[in-house]
Amino acid sequence: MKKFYLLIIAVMLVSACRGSGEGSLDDKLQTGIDGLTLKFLKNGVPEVIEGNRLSMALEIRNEGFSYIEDSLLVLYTEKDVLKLEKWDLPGRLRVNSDNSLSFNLRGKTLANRKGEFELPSFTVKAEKIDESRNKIESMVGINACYRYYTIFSESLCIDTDPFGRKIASKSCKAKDISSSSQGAPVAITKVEQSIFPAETPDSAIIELNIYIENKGKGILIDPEKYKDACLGKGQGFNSILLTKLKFSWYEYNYEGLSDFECSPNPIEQRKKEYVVRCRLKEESAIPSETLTFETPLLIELYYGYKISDSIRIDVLNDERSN
Amino acid sequence: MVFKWINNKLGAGKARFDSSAPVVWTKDKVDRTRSTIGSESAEADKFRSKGALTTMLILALLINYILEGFIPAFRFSGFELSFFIGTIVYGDWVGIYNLFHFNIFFLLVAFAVFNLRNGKPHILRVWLGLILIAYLLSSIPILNTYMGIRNFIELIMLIISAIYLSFSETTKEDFISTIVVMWAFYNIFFFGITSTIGGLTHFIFIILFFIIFCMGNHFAEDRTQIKWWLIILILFDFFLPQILKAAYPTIPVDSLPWLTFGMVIFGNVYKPYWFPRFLLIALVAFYFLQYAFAGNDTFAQIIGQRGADQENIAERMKFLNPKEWLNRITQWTNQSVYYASGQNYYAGRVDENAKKDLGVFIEGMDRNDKIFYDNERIIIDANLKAQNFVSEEDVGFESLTIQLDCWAQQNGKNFAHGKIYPKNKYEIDAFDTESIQCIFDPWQLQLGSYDIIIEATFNFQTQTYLKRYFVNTLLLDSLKSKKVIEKDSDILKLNKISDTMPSAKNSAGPVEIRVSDQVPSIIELSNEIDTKQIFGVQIANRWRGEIKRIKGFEFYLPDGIYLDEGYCTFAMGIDAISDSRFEGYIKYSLQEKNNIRLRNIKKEIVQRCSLAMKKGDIEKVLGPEDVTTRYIQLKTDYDYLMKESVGITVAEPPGVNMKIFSPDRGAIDSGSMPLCKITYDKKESFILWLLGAAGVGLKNTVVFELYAGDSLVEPMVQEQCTEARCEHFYEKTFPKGTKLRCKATVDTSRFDEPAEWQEPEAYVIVKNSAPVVKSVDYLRDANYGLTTREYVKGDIAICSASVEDRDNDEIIAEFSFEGFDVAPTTKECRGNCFVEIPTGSAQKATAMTCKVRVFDGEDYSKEVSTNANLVMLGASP
Repeated sequence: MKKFYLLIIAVMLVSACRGSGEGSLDDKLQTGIDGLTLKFLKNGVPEVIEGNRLSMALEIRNEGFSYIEDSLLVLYTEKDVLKLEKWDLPGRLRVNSDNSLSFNLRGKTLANRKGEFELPSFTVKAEKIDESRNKIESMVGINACYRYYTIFSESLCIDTDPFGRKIASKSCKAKDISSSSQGAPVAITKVEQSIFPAETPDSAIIELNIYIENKGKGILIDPEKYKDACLGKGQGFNSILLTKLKFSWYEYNYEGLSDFECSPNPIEQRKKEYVVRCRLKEESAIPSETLTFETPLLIELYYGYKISDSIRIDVLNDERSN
Repeated sequence: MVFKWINNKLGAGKARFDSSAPVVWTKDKVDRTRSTIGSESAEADKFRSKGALTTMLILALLINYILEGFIPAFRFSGFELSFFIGTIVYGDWVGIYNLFHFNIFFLLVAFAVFNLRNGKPHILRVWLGLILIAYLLSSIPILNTYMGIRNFIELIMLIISAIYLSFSETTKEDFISTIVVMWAFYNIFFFGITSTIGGLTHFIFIILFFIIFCMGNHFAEDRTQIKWWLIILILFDFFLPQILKAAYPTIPVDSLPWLTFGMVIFGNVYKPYWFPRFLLIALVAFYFLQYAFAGNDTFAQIIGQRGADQENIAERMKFLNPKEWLNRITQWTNQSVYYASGQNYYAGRVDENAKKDLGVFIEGMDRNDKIFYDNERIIIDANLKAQNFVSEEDVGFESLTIQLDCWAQQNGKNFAHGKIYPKNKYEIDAFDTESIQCIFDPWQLQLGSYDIIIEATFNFQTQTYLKRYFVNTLLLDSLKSKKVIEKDSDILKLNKISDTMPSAKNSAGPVEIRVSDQVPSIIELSNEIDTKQIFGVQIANRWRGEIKRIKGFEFYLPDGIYLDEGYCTFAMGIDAISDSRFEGYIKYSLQEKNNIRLRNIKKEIVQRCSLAMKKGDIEKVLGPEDVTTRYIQLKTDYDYLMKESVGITVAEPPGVNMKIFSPDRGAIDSGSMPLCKITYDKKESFILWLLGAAGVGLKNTVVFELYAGDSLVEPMVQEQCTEARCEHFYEKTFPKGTKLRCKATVDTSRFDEPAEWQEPEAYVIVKNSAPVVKSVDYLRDANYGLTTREYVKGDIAICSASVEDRDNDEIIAEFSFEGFDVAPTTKECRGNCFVEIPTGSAQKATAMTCKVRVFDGEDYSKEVSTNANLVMLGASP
């Protein structure tokens, strides 16, 4: 009987435990590996009779944290079978002369935890198909290209005394930072830190190795030429720019004065990861009298992203539909 | 000793028996204790085997459904068989021998057989044998190459086997089964099973299976059988998926959970308790339901590629048809042969969405009687079914014209020509079914077996579309250099295009258009250089029959894609498009329609062309998307000859019969003379009848009468009849349509023979005589009839025929030509007729053949031909 009571108490204690690091509400928004998502709003395989029209709707939603501005969506068909006739758009979307769509979408906010979305619809017309077929399986595809940011924000412990020579006790323990996602398709997965003695006596250089992965379902494109990627002219791929890195009073800016040297930037792919190394410059070395301290680390990545989706559409022979 | 054993079993270290008090062990007590322990032991074994089996079943389920279901890297669908296929099909037997390491396998088995005589190994023999083999193999170069132990691992295997044989107790069967399992493991390992994580997982599972079931003492009784089952499991999981995949490429059979299937079967055979039985029922029910639901579109969306609407169920059900298996294996082997021999493989298939049953079909012939008498009219019934896929509203509508004919063949050669009733020519607009008959007159076929062939020649069309993907080469290079993709086909996956290897899709019908595998799915276009792409197309015969003539062949290419006209096997040229469906396309049509190679095609012909895409025109082909899908349409018009047949036997009718026929031609026509003959099938009474009561050697007299209509042809004739011969030949011919009646009078009054045997008679209608082409010649001048064997370019060649028809029917002559591009001509012909052929357009010297065949409304003549040479101006003959 005693054992039973002890068991009950243990269960209650365990169930009362909460996961560590619940964090702020903002942190909850900065999770996930999706940015822009696309979805055809149709169950099953849509069918259209040859010579007739079919209307369908799309859902485009910004499920990430950052704001999407002036992104491009291109719809394409197998034009020997289906042709895009027109778009039917809610007010905020804009059709360009080449039938592509431009739009802005806000990411996840406290007020809208799923991210802003739009529901454009389009109409395609089916060509006549050859009389010997009952149907032809065709498809409609969409590409969306946009610029995005990944904002990484975690606490970093800078250990200015890695060999423990100072008497003062350390306020934190230096360790690598791991993270799974930041509310964007490109995620910083790990930040490794190393401390080296600087050339200047009694100072130290910190070096951060930042590991990045493309966790989303799309591909990385040049953020400056992102529209070309959706219009079949893109050649800039796998581009990630580290635009900002900051902790304490030390800062890196891609264009501008920096305390760090970060390379390679634009960041290159190495096997399945992207790695950039940021090393504090000599002139910005941390004086050794600075005690170990914990500080927020902010890293901002900038890149272009392209996602695709497609749906099968069956074009039926006129006779078969009867 | 027994008591000690019992003590140990009942608890070592703990005194279950008070050693201070002596225990009296009676026999009963020992037996009871032993049986309790035995049954406890048996129970323990049963529990152990169920536990092991359950564990392995659950593991298999976890691997197939959880691990492979959620982590794509773990997916394993058997060994890729292309290497094995190539080796086997190419007949590289030595390669196969070495590939499967048969040398070491045979050596070990031979070792076992030699040394395990009487169930006991002889240690000295084992070691001597090992040394001898190693010595021999090292010193004899030939053996070294083919029989030798080729590597260190095999030598180790041989040594380990020798040690095992020497020191363990084993039977021959168990040792051989162990060797086979080891050999299988060895081969699998060297085939590279561990190169993927999925393969490694399955390999570990097999090893685990071996450790649990085949090692240790627990399953000693069943071990040999389990080892053989392990071999089956290995075949099931490692080889069967890709074999089935090759046979059924459109059905994702390789993604089925074969490891689980194999384990469930093993479980039900080895230890059929509730769990494996439940799994068997559950799996069968699940996959059956999945297949059944595949007909539902909603479910088709869920199960992706396995979706099939009702029309496809029949196609998929062919899986259960052994004939279909044979066809698939043949196709698979053919494909392998092509690859092995370095030839191009042409692929194409009937579009699963095509309308079925298009074409002309002759059905129901197999429902006829198979035995006929020679004195009766032989009538073979059949159904003619035709469906045209081009409807009247469509541009280029052409009704189906079907010409029927029927023949009796013996040993593959035409013996007699039958008549088609009610008519031998049909014009079908959309769909029609007609009952037809093939009729042979009495005595037209002699006694024996025949194949009755009904032939249908009809005009038809096959339409094919081929989907291809076009990509800017700069884009591909950029994606590859940035490691976004590894190979070209990855760009399709990137753009969520699932149909990565689209094949030519044909309409239903007797002919299929296939496209060479040299035409890649993705065609790269460049802004800097023109792109040229070999485009090989095969027109293949799908049905039993032959393509009589290809009348037309068309390519419809999207704007921006051109045919390099000078590079086609058969010349093609740009043509105007009349069908609005092809707006934005360029049409190329076959130019040399009278090429002899486009006729009488039993298997296939190839049209090799080259596509050209100019650097300045790629904007016409490519769209804004990364991958532009375009369709190339192909169409061919042809005359097709299809045949259906049924075997019959023509037998002697029972009793006494009169025959009236032509001895040399069978059926009597206006050119043949009739023979009236009595036949009899029962010798006994016939002899009596013939001989009467006078005895052996005497003859009987039979009176023959022949009537043409109601008139007696000549006075009654008496013939002396024997069993061997009882007939009269009339040396007279009769016009076609004459009703001839032959009657004989036999005196059978003295015997109990049927009355009708006293006056046997037979009727026949004189048939039409086929017209005859007496001669065919090339002439210099039609008026003067001077024959010639040579023309010079620019001359008018005159092919003249002299014809005759006994029945004075209207004759149509068909002139056809070889060696020169001239269309066939038909014209009325009375006595003599000719055709003029201008030779001014000839490009080169050639031999011209003129063939003539005539038709009198009922029958065709034999074809007669003649040759002449055409020379170029200034060239020496």
